[in-house]
Amino acid sequence: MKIARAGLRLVYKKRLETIVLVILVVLVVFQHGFLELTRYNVGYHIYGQLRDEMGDLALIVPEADAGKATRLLEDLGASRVEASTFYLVKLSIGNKTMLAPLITLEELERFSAIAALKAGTPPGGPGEAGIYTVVASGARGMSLDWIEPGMEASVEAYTPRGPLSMSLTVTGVYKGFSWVAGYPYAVVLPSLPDALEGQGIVVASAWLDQGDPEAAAEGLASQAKEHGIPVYGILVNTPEKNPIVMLVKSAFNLLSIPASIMLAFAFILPAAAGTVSVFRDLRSLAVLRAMGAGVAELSLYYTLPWIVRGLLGAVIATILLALYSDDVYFSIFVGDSDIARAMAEAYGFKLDPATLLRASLIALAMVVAGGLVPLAAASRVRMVEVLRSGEVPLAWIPPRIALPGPLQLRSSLRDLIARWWKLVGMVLALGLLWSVSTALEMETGSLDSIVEFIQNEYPVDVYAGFISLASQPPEPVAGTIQGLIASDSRVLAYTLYYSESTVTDLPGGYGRVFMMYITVLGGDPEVGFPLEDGRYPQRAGETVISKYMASYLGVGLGDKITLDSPTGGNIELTIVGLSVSMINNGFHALVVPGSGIFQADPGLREVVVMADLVDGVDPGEYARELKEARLPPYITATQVFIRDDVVDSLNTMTSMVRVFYSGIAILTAIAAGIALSGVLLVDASARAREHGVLLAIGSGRRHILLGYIAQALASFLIAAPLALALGYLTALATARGTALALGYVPPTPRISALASSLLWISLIVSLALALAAVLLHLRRLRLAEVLRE
Amino acid sequence: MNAALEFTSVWKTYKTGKVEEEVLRGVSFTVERGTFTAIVGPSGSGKSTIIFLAAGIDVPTKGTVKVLGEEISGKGESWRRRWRRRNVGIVFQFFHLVPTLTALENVVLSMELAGTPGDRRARARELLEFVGLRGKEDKYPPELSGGEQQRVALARALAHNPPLVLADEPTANLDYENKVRVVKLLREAASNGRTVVFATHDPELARGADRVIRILDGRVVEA
Repeated sequence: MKIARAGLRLVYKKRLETIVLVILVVLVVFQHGFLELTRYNVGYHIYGQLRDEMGDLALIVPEADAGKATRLLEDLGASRVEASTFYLVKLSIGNKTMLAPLITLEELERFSAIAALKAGTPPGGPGEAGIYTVVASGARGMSLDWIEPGMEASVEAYTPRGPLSMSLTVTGVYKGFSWVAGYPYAVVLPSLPDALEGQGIVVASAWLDQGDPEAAAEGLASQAKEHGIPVYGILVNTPEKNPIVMLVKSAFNLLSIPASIMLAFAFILPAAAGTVSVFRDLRSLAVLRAMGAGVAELSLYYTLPWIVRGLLGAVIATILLALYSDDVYFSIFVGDSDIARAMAEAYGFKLDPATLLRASLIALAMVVAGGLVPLAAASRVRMVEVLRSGEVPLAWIPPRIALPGPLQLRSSLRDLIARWWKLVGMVLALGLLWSVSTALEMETGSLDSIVEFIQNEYPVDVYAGFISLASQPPEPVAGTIQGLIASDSRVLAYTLYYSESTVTDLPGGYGRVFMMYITVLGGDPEVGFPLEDGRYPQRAGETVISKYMASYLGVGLGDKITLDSPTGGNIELTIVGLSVSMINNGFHALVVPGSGIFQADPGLREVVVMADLVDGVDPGEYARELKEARLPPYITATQVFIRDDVVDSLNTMTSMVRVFYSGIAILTAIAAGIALSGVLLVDASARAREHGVLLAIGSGRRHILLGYIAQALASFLIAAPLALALGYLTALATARGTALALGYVPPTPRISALASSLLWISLIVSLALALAAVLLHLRRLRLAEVLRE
Repeated sequence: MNAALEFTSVWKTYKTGKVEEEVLRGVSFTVERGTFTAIVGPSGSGKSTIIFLAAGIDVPTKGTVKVLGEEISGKGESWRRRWRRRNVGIVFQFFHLVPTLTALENVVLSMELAGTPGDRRARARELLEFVGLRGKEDKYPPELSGGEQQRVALARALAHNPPLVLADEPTANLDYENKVRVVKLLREAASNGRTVVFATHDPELARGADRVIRILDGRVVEA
């Protein structure tokens, strides 16, 4: 008990260590815990709001079939069923033209219960319109923040009587959280022109008081077909299946990676500072052991104080999280946004106990693990030798190799072997630090190779999407567009395809992803989906997937994969080919028409074209012409872009990844710098007497420091292959960790990655910090006292 | 000019926390060149402090320390270190060899630091033979006994042929046979004009010295 008391006294006696660890734990736990709580709450708020607006299950059908769809949902036993109608129009405002849903003010309230008028006044009469945008629609080129009341706009729609064109003045700008029928913006009118009636698309939503929405959705598409209802989409709303909640969670996963790395600090400090104290109190420790103290007693002295400090930090952090995380949430995530405030207040801020405690428990476990390091060092001290000589005995007798150069250099290099823990510590710290930079180089190198592939090898010059403004077009869009493209002599080859997406569980527990099912309707599939191996699908149940997705799932030709179908239920597909396409980040599957996967007739309302142009044709010019092509009034181009746009967007993504990695690299550099300083300080403490003797017989501090530099350089050589291996594994883990959000690009192991400039800057900085700590220690060394002890 | 050591009214105070301890209180004495001198006193009397001050490892709080004609107490640490590596050989109570250098290399090290010309390894072998350690040249310190380590330390102290050899309780951790052996070696080292000063708490060992300086409670009681 006396030892426990002495250990506890250290908490006060070594106040600086206590304060630093407590602050560290509080910062790390609060940061990590806050991100976890925020992720939980944002997901919960978004899901709650979407459920209020969209229900648990929604069917998207033509306006003419709204009644039948509503009845179908009522038959499922839904407690409430509502139908919202929107009309697809071509909106021109400022210098932008885009496809947007047209809705009434009444519908807006239904779509987004907490949509708020942020500027101007609601549209009141003919020729007046409001513009609704989603708060989070900040993606490149999608943000409509520049729209202000007073701006002029025009809308083109399709009616059976011909095209309808309206000139409008924007009177008000609305903001909300919900996407309207899959679009992040909408044109809002006080009432709809009569001519549009019957041309709309209806979202029929059902609220189920009990039962699983996913189970209820199963077979819904086939039931609808039996009732003669063309289904354009089925939305199942559970937190796991909700694409927005899924995106939010992925984003927070990325945010929490640096916070997770910081948890490592909670290990490093007790491990390093605790071990330094072991070597400082070496003689007392040996006396304690001579008096019969075993591991249990030593742990009371060397580990208990750290546990107490860690507990103190964890308790303070948990209390702070419980008291203030909602305030921080409101100030950081809600800010001045009335809508976010309304949403947060409507659903409340939940302090999920498991989430609240997780970070504290992890940090505490790290502190305890760190506190075990000095305990291990203390219990390995050879009592007799220490009592006889007062020095730390060597762990190993070094080999008798007469290295060239001054004796002090030789001694330093042998010392690395004789005190293996130092070598291991330095190699691990350097390897860890190095590996992150190496990983960065490997991963961005792989992304660069994708950009290079798209730029130089992938044959597609122009991408264009087309959609029908009419809910039931007179002719399938695919046929019309194929006619347009196939007859153009500037097009060398093309792929015309239809796609549909759903959130699916990947086989093998590899997570959930937006899966795109593609069927090629015309042209040559080799243009958009060049095969690396195998053949294209010929019958239902066969598929071609991207080699990236195959690599992520660890599957190959002939393997079977089971995925969720957009129509509900599972589908089993046999892989017959692997393509090199990165469409939808590589998460796509080519299937054949009639394979039971698609809800509407493929190509009836929507189609995408990828064209390889004849050499010499300007893709930009061709894309402009395609946008302005004379098409039937019910067809409009949704988006047309060229190879350079794709390359720009990939470069932006690569830059983002690089910035993210750099942030992690800086954190790792700090962690490795602290770890290196810790290892070298522990060593300097253990060898204080040896340094004293060297100084006494005429050696300089510079010589001793040079010895440490030599040790660092030797450790570098050993750390290099470790860094390469760890870097590859880190890059692999990161590529897999970000695969669902960014696509899976396996890293390429490259020795040249070891030469990253970022690496050298961080290595030199952390090593300089560590050596500065040793120099400070040497400067403080009181020669007479060290030699006298 | 014949004095190897000249302590004049030397005071030394150590501060541990808030406690100040006067280890030397106005110590004055002189040691002639080429003599074999013992500083004798009980534990805590200030013997080691005198050795450290004479070696320039520490500086006095008050008073002057003149060694081999140089007043070293007023010089900076770097000067004292350079001076020490050429002029002083030291033997410590706990041997204090560099654990990752062999016996031979430990001896060569002091010559390397002092820039001693000639075949250093050959001289180191000679010295190890002189202290009776032939055949143990390639052993690391942890592979040697206490007595053997202390003899390596003595060879190291003599290697660069310093005019002054200082030894702080060189026999404290040795058995009787090794004690006698080490003192005999120190005695032999004090030939050819070399001055040897050693501190001991054992009056028996001091008997063979040319001169004995007795210290008690930080004061010279017999010089």
